[in-house]
Amino acid sequence: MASKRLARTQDPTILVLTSLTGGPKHGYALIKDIEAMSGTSFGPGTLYGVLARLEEEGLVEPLPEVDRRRPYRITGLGARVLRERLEVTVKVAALGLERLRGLGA
Amino acid sequence: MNADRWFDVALRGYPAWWQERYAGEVRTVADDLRTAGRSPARIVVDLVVGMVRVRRSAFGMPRTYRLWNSRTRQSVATATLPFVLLTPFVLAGVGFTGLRARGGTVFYSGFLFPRGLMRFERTGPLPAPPLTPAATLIFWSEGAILLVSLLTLFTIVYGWGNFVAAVRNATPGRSRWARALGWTPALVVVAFIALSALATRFAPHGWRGVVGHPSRPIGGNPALLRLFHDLAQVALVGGWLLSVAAVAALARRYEMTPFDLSVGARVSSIMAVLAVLLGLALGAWGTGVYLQAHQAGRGTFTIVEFGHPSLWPLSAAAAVLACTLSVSGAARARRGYRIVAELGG
Repeated sequence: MASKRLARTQDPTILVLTSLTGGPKHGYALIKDIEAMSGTSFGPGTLYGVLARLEEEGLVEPLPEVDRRRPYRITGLGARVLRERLEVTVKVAALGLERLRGLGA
Repeated sequence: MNADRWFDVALRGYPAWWQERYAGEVRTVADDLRTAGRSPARIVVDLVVGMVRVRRSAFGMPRTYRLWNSRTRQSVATATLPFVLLTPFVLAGVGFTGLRARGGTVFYSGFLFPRGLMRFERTGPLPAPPLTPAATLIFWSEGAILLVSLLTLFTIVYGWGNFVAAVRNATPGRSRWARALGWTPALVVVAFIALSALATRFAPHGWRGVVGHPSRPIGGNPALLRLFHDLAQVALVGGWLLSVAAVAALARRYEMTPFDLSVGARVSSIMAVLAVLLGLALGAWGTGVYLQAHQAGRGTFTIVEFGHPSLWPLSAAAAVLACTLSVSGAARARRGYRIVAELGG
């Protein structure tokens, strides 16, 4: 239960940006990739809320539509922001794991 | 209704600019997810939640003067109108009160304001026994509610005056009906005063009574008195609702200058603060009512009574909703005004 609750607290913007580092993807492909990557299943309303925000901030950009599906790709700024956020996450994760080892957990 | 129809209905709830940009893509994703086996109900719920988020945050909304002007006007309306709508009903529910000693003597019955707080004992024929602690809490919170309502009334009058000027600025040399519609609240007040004055004309000139028998009115016309009294009440309640609807319709239709929007944003902030204060006072009042109903007292105390104490959970829920709308609307109005000012006009 607690593990599920913690999984829900993952930042959706990080999940979307991380998924797009694997190449441009349209909405459905993003949902499936994020589900495989983190176990979090987005709905279309949630996903496009995140995409609109990232697009406004210049972190992702839309590509021309193919067969009613518009792919998105991460921008240079998006990659830089993601790197900074992931580096902090890695530091926190490393510290947390080290302390857990100290606890013998 | 099948899933396709539900998807369409949910998508129609999104703002027009969003639908233009994203609706086609989202619809395709929703269809793909359904084909992959996801429950349509889950998809619809997610679309509705997404719609609320988009309407609240406006992320991705194009930075055009027209769109942001419209959003700011809507935010000001959201911050002010639900609260304006609620206030008279709160006053009617809380303000009409009675004070009764536990023994049964009624010391006071009527509208609390503007009688001096805590001086009720002068209204009764006997010195009133002390208030219970719960009744004291009710009394002071009622005072706070009335004070906040009075401040709200001043803010409404200030905001409405500016709104009428803003409609005039927005419709130079045309739309007389729009300007007239802006004056609806004033017309309602005039109609109420006129009907009340007419009712007074048909009131009895005096009362004749004999000990042991009910008093009889001297002169007047009870049927017409009742008719005009009821019409005045209808004009007040109906007119209040009509005024709110008229202001909402005008705010939705007419683009306003950045200066007028800045006044609107300021009024929204004041109303949000007043809404929070009213919510807190209502919370204290409800706590007092609950404690009074559950206290096990001995001896003689004065307690406070209301016509409809069971309505308190409903008024509390309405107050929480109005507070939330008011606070979030005021924040959006301030942000919207800043963007409109940046975009010029």
